Amino acid sequence: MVNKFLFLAYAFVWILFMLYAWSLSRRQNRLSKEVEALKARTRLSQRNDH
Amino acid sequence: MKSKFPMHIHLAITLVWMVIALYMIFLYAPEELTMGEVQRIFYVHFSLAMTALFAYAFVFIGSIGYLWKRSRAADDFAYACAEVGFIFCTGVLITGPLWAKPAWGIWWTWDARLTSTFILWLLYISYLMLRAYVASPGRTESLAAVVGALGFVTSIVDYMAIRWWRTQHPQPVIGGGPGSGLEPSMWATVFVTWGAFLCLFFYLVRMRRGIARVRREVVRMRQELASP
Repeated sequence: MVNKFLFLAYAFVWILFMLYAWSLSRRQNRLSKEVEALKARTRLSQRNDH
Repeated sequence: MKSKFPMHIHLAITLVWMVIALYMIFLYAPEELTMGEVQRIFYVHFSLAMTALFAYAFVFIGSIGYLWKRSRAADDFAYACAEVGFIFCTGVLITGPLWAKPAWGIWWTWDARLTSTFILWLLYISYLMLRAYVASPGRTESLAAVVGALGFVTSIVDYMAIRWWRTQHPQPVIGGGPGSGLEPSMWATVFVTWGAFLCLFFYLVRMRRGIARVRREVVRMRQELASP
């Protein structure tokens, strides 16, 4: 049987890194959506100017 | 500065390297005689600790780059290394007590190594809080560079703590003098695992730098739209 301390140490480390990677990808997605929205607004304002 | 090395290849290399490291930790490295199975925590604990220490050196280099040349890319690099370094340092503080309990019979003791690692972790938090809550362009980066330099000095003290003082923490395995060191297959496992974690560190730093770049782009676009 695997030692419980050994199991917990590796489990916590992987959970920590997965949570961080998930938070990074969430931030990345949110920013990409914001960039798209801002680009659309820029296009719209340029069209209105003309 | 944008790296030309594709992110998906970097991720694939990291994952493959990590699988090899896990194979070596659990199947290749022999069981330690006195501690048994639980000693295998050492491989991940050591790799996280060394990477967290190196992260502060990178924060320092990035901060110097910013102070010297006012380089945005250098500041992004310092910020990214601090955030990812904080995650690694947190990992050290999780795996340490989980190894200490079966090895020493206690979860924590305020000896020089453990205390300096805890201070290092607090400095990472200070750095990140400073970046998040002090909204003064130019000044925030300069203040963060000072905390980064302080963190770098602490990381040296942390590394040297087990050489300068008698501690509960085991003596160094690298350059620890007579009687220290590891069996060759354990050394190989240490370096492969550390390499895998360094690869993961740089992957996360690149991801975090990408976010900083896009965030700056968002701010610029917002300003353009707001200006008449």
